[in-house]
Amino acid sequence: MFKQYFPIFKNQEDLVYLDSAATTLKPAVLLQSLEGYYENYTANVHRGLYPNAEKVTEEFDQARTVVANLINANSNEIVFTHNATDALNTIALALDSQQLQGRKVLISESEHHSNLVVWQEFAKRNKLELCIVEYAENWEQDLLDQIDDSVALLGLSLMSNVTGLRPQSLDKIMKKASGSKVITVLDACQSIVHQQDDVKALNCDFLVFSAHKLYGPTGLGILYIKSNLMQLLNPVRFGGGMVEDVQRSQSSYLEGPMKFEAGTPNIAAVLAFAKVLEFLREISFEKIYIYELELAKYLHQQLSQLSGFKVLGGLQSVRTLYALDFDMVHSHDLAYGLGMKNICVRAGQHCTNPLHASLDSRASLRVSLGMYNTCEDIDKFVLELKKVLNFFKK
Amino acid sequence: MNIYYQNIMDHFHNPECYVKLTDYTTCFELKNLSCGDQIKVYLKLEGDILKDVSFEGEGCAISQAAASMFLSEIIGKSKKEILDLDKQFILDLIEMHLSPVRLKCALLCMEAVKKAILSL
Repeated sequence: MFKQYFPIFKNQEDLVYLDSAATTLKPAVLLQSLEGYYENYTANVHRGLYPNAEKVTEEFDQARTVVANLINANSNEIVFTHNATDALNTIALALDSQQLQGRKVLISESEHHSNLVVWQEFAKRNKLELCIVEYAENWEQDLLDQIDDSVALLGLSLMSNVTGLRPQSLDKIMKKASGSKVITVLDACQSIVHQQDDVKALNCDFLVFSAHKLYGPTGLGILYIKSNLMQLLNPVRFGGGMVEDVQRSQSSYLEGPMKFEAGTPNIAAVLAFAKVLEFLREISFEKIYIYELELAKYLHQQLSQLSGFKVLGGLQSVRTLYALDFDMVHSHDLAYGLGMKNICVRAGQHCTNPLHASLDSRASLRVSLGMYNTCEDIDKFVLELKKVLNFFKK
Repeated sequence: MNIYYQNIMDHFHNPECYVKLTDYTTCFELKNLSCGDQIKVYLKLEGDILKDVSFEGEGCAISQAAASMFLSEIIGKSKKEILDLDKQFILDLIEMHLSPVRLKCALLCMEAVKKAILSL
């Protein structure tokens, strides 16, 4: 249905790409934008006064608005970073730990390493207690129970990159966190491609995601900072592009997102990502999600007919991502065998070692859907998976 | 469908040296972060010479077969001879192309043995 928009399928007709949770494939509109910027009007941003530079600056500033609209933020609340991990590190560096002393950092065990290691290190350096809510059947309730005014910061993903699940009690969690003056950091890396959350409705302080998981280019992360915090936080990287005035012995810095964007940003990626978002909006995010849910139902149906594995997080609900742990065959061997047929899936622990340990899984095979997938892709995956499993039975 | 050569599958299904030595001189456990593979090697040394070696652990066919092949080849070698071995030694045993990610699986056992020796 949407495959036609992705040139890779013209170059690899047999490609079955089921690893969109790692990175999505790229639509033609992205490549055209990159080519346009590099071939027709290359210039730096916020500097030159000639027509090409003015065009780049206009498009770059407009891109910030396009990204902001995606999550119902204001454009002065959107910082461009290198990736989501960089965005999370920026938050950790910018927060004033003096004001957090004596309070805890709270995260869930299902967090990706990027939203875990950052807070581990943040807690260690600032001598704060790190509380990790164990992944169990009632983990959301446990998390809710732990939220009170002793918590300084809550880090939470809106969709696990292993279970594919969204916290069902998200609204309650956010309300309680807000009532307890907890700083909330939401990781939207996996969710943003399927469900574009409204930061105002969530009332979060920070939200991060990477462009490359939303059909955009690599090397670009998005950091949403609520406007009141944007004013309070100090920059963490210094140099050109973020200064208001520079004297020999001291400098003053810009207000707003640009104070966090020292040096030349990834201009080509920013411009291209805006084009991708406009392209997706034209198709309609809702239409894409409805299509993905149909695919997810089909995948769920096919997986329900197989045996000899467990689904991390359970197979009860339909979702766009499943991590499967097979009893008899290691996920690396399965992924390698599938790869021989150009079926791309992820194997390993997917940067969630504590979660895998908690679920008593040494590694898993992750299948994740994107807008370009079809039921035929799922059929081919299941067929070849059975063949690979059969090979290891011998 | 033929994913791995028979030699690899034979070592995977019936690995050599897959036991815990009781009279070992040193042991070392190593994990591969990306795939969760883990291996523990037991080394019995007499002076400078490796007299016996074994491993326990779990992992993909490549990591298990590589461990089986590697350990049965190094018995009788000196500590220095073992420390001087490089990835080519494993690749010659495995006889298949390995991507960088899978190379880590194949090298896990050799790394564990070297770390066990260096820990002495």
